[in-house]
Amino acid sequence: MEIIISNSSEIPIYEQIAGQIKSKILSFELKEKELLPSIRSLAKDLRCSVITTKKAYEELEKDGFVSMVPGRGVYVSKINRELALEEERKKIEDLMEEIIVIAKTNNILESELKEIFSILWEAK
Amino acid sequence: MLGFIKKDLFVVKGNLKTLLMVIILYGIMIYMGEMDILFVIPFFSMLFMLTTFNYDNYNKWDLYAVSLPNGRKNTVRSKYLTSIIGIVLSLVVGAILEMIIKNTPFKEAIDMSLAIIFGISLVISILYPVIFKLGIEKARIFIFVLAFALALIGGLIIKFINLDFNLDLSFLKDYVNYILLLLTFIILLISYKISSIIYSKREM
Amino acid sequence: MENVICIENLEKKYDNFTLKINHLEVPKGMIMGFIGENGAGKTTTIKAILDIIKNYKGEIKLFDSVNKEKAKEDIGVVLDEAFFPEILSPKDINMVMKSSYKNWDQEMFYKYLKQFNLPEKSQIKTFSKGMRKKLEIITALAHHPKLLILDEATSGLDPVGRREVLDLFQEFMQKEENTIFLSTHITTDLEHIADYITFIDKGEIIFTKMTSELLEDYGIVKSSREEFKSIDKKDIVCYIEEKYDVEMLVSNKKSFKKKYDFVSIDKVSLEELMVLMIKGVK
Repeated sequence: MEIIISNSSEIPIYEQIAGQIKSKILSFELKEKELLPSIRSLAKDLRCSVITTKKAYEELEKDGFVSMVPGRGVYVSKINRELALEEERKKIEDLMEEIIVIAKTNNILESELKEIFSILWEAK
Repeated sequence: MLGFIKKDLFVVKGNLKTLLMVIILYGIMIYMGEMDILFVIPFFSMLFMLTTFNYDNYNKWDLYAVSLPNGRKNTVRSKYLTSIIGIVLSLVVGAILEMIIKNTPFKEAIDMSLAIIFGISLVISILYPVIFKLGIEKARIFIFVLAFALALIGGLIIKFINLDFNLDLSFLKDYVNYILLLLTFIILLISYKISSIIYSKREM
Repeated sequence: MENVICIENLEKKYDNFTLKINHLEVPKGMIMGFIGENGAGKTTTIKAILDIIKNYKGEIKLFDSVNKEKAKEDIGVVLDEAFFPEILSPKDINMVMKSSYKNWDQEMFYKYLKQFNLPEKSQIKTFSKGMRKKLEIITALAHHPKLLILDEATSGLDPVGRREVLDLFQEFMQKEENTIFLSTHITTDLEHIADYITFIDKGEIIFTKMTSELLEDYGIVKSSREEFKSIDKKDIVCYIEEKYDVEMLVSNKKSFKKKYDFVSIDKVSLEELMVLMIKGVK
């Protein structure tokens, strides 16, 4: 499993970790019931604090991606992939709504938005 | 505490070259009849003990030692014990050499050894509480003063005894070894207790 | 949460300096970084914890007990410039420690000596500064302590050495009950691995916070003097007026950005945070 952390990123490290594990679960790279590294060994290997990895796993547990069994470890949960993806889509919708509100209050046109979007999309 | 005794022995071991040079130098002087074997050897073992204080001080071992289990107690205990062991051992060596080289009778060698043990123990008993109180660096001046004072007092006492008490003291002659041994034990014990109290409160 | 070190109302007076810690807790299983300027009181605090200084007011508990001698079996220590007489070799140290700690692990000690390329029979005085530090650190680890108290343990190490040592600390932290309390002025070491940061200045604790919180929530704002005038001083922690701009420390980047959208906010490093809090106007 590969996890790449950027210390200069604006995204908090725990979110970076949680996000990457989440996408690995969604893409079946991590399978159901698979044992994930412990909070402490993950912290060691990523050279970050224990609190950070703990927070990442807690975030993932909250969203139903993993379950933490005290004394045994962290396992990938059985997830409803469609449902999980649906939730991700919902998040995108929410963010887009926010964009549209800002655009409309500033009289920015739809075509302009699409242009910005395609430029950013290509750049990533 | 055994650990701390080992530490002092390792410091002496680390100084082995110096130690050997000193031994050779004084060996020559003893051979030429310039020095008294019985006195020189234990005196040097005391000097080496003082050297261990210097090495401790240089790398702030005292501070580090306190962070080890029972650090303060063991520091004091080990210094006294190592010193006593060192002096006794060196006296045994000295006495044997004395008997071989100078053909001194056994009884006389023992008598002299006990007197020297008493003398050096007295010095240690006065010195160590001061070192544990002030640290070796500040205690150094005191050591010089003490050495000078002891030489002076010692000289006077010898004169004094020769003049007046020559006859009066003679009845003690049979017991003098036991008395010396007992006195040595008592002053060392008192000194050790004082050092322990001082060191248990010492700020570092 | 259980605490491994607990300090209450500690006060120690010197002629020109007073250490006054009302409250400090080091939680079990965590790494706490202890930062502050030279002379802020880091070493004095550590000395008080270890009973190297004695006549202080207040109470210090280690592993929930005031019996420090008993606790010392479970503590590994690196002190700033205090160690074995340099005439000794690592081999000698092993012999001394074997008789000093019940749990001294000779195999572990020799394994680490090998790992860090430290010659076992050479006197410490032949070692470089970095080698000495490494030796001090592995000596602190080899009796399987539950708590490491480290005073400036990474200073004197080059970047590669620092990384090796930090890895060693994180390996130590694999045991859930283990705790590290380390003082340093090299704050970059802490940004990654420390769970908590305690900041001390002029003998007093300014704050104890989660590192992630500090790095994610705090920010540094640079603005012109004109812009600075329009900012409510309640919204900033402190500021420094520089020659060309004003630098401000804010404790909540997001809400600050919402209120003052004309400024740009940068992430703050522990180093900048420390400097701003010491030099800045409150």
